[in-house]
Amino acid sequence: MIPAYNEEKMVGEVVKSTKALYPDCEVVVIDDGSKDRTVEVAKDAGAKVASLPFHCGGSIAVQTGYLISARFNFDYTVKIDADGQHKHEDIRKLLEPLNTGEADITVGSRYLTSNGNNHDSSLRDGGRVFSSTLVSSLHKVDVTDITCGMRGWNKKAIATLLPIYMERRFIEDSVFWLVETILAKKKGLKLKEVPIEILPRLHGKSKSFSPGKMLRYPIKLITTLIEESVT
Amino acid sequence: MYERYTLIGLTVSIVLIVLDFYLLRKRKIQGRGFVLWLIIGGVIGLFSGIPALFSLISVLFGTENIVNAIMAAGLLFFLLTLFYFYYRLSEMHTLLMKLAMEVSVRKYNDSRQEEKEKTERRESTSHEN
Repeated sequence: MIPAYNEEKMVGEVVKSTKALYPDCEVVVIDDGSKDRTVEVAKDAGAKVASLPFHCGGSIAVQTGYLISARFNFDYTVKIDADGQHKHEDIRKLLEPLNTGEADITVGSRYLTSNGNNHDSSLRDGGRVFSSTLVSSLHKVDVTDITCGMRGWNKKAIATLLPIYMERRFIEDSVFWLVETILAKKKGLKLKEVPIEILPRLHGKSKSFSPGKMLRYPIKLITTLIEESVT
Repeated sequence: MYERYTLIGLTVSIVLIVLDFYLLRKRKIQGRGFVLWLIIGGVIGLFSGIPALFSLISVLFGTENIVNAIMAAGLLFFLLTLFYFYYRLSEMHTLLMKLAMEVSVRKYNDSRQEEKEKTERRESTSHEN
């Protein structure tokens, strides 16, 4: 699945190269209410598109992907970004542990490769390392790149996580992966990190980072950790 | 008079905190909202339990402490109403998101069906030829 919001410049390329490498896989673009030509470009490139009626945020787009995966009985689901920052070759790395039963969820990590890191500022990097370390030590999970959006799931993981998401209230985008990691640990799902490479962004700006979002992130992180320990 | 305020304030504070925990455990509100209302409940409880704090604040700000029962009760009722609205909004937001997801899955299903029909039509045409 490829969640996309106003990514007309890159989404076509991402879909085409994914389809070329994995012709047997279904490429689903989850359009998060884009205002540009993302839907048309994705369809032209050969993807099937699930359009959200308005901009709902990345976490809802991902949950829509889970819903599709569960309803249409997909064996494995892999998420990559529509901005072209994830290498398609790394999808194979995410699928391998799922195939062998070594993991139920695979998470890409830019910190496990020597050349995987990184095109971000040291502030973002520091925030990522801090939240990964905090969650790792509080919840006893082994993660180095908890906010990484390149992930894979098997049927069991989707079947376990989806009912929880459907039952509970909306989870904010910036802490979605963090919550999922904690939930996976609580539910006994096997999580494994695999080394991936992050490519530089060619078009536009990141939607996950803005000065305002970065200022709010520590508060969200703390309230999320309180929430997860209370529930 | 202090005792009555104390009783009402403490009751509202306990109701807010208990509701806050209950709704969080039921996943009906977000962690951020939980912390906010926990602080509000705590502050109400603190000021009700130790009324001398009001006098201290009025001395610090140099104002006269003239809170009457109607105003205090009104303020507490307003806070409880606001909490209820926050909870309902949170719930409506979640429902709206679920609806959006269902619409999206429906659209995906339609596009799948469309493609399937196209493939079938193409195949039957090639068979005829």
